[in-house]
Amino acid sequence: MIPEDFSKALLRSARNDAPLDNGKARLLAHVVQTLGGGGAAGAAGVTVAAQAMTTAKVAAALALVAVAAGAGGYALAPAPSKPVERASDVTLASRGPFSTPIGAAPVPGPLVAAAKALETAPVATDMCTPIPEAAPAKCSTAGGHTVTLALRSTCTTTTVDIFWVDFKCQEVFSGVLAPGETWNQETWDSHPFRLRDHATHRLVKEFVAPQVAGAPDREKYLKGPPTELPVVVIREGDAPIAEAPPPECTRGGGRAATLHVRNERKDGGMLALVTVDSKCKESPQVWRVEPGAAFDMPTSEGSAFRIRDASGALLADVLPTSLDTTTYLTVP
Amino acid sequence: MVIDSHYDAVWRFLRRLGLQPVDVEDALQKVFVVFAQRETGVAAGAERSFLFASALRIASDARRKHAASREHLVDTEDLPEQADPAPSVEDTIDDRRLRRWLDDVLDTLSDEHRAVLVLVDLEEQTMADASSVLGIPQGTVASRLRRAREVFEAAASELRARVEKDTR
Repeated sequence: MIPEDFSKALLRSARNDAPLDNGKARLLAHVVQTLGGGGAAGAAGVTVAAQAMTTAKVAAALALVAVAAGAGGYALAPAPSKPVERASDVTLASRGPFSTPIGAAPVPGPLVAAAKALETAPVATDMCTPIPEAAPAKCSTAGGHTVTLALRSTCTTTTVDIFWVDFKCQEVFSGVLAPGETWNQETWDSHPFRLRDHATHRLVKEFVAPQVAGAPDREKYLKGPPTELPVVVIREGDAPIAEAPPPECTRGGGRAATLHVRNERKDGGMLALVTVDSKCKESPQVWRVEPGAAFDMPTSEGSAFRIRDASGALLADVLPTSLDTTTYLTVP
Repeated sequence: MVIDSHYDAVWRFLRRLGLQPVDVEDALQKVFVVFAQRETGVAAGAERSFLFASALRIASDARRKHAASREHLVDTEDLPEQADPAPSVEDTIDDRRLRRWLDDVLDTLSDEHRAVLVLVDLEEQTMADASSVLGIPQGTVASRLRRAREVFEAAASELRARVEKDTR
C-alpha cells in the first residue's frame, strides 16, 4: 500500500535513517591519526611535534588524543625502526631540484612569487555585471590535461557562485568567491565553469581553463602506480639551513607518489616531517622519524614538506616535483 | 563531544545530498578533520552549522569526482540492461523502500534546491541556520525552499503514480 500522504512519508523515512554503530570508532581513529596520534593498527609513527604547532592546535590535538585513548585504544605508536636500502638512494645535497641543498638559502619559487603578485594586485572597479543568460557553450568532456585554477575576484561588491558544467551540461555548485578572494581548484582543461551572482543567480562569466604546456594528460594522471620519489637522507653531520618561509607551496596537478625519508642520525634525535599546505603554511600534521628509521609517506608529486630536527631547526625543504599547472585567472 | 552529538545528523545529511553509503564514511572523516583543525574558531552552538557547511562542500566535491570518474571509466554502451526499478506487488512499503524512493525524488532536484530542502525539511534547521550553512541570504533560502518543495512534490506525485500503476 502506498501511504496516503506520500511526500510526508518519504521525508519521515529519512529521519529514521542511521549509520552503522562502528562508524564512530573508525572516524575517531582517523581524526586522531590525522591530527597527530599514532594508530594502534600500526600506522607508521605519527605524533605531534609541539614546536611546530600553535598552542591552540597542540591543545586540540592532545585533547582528541586523550579522548581517543580513553575511548579504548588509540595509543601513540613510535615510528618503525627498520632502515631501508634502495639503489635510488641519494644524499640530501645531491637531489637537485627535489630539495634545497643543506646550507643553501632557499629561493622563493615562481609559484610563490606569482601568488604574491596576484594577492597584491589592485582590485578593479566592480565590473561583475551579468551577461545574457544562455545555455552553456560547452559541456565537460572526458580526457584533457590537468590544470590548477587560481581564480581571483577583482569584484568590489559582488560575491559570485562557481559552478562546474558537468558532462550533461548541468551546473554543479563548486564554491563561493567573495570580492578580492582567490579560489583554487584542481581540474582539467576540458571542464568549463560558470560564475553567477551570488545574490541574483544571474550569469556573470563562463570560461574553460586554458591548456598548460606540458601538463600531464588525464589518462597518464589517473592510471599507473604511484611515483617513487627519491629518498631523502638526513645524516649525522647535516647542519641546519637558514630559517625562511617555504620556497614553494603544495600545489595541485601531481600524481600519487611515495616520499621516502631516512634518518641516519644516531645521536641527533628524531626528525619531524612537516607538511606545507597550499598557502605555504606549515600544517600541524607532523610525522616523526626516529633515529635510524626510515619512513615512507604516501603523498602526491605536488606536495611540499619540511624536515626539522627535535629542536625545531630546519634541515631541508622537500619541494613539489610535478609541473606547476597553476593558471591565474581573474573575475570578471 | 562533537562526534557523538553530530555524527548521525552529518551522516544523514551526506546521504541525502546524494552520496552513496560507500562514500559517506570518507566524507565524514573529512568533515570532522576540518572541524578538529578549526575547532577553536567555531563559536559555541555553531558546531552543527559549521559541520553541515563543510559537509555540503565535501559532498559536492565527492559527487563531482564520482561523476568525473564514472564518465571516464564507464561507457554507457557497455552497461548491462538495467532491471525495472519499480517494486513488485509483493514488496512492502517499509522505511528502507521509502528512503530509496526519497533518494530517487531528491535526485530530481538541483544541488542547491536539494541542499536547502534537506537542511530545512529533513534536518529541521531554521532558515537562519540554513542561511549560515549555505552562505546565502535568508530570502534566497526561502525562495529556493519554495521552489525545491514544488519540484519535490511534483516528483513524488509522479513516482507515486508510477508505483501505483506497477503494483496494480
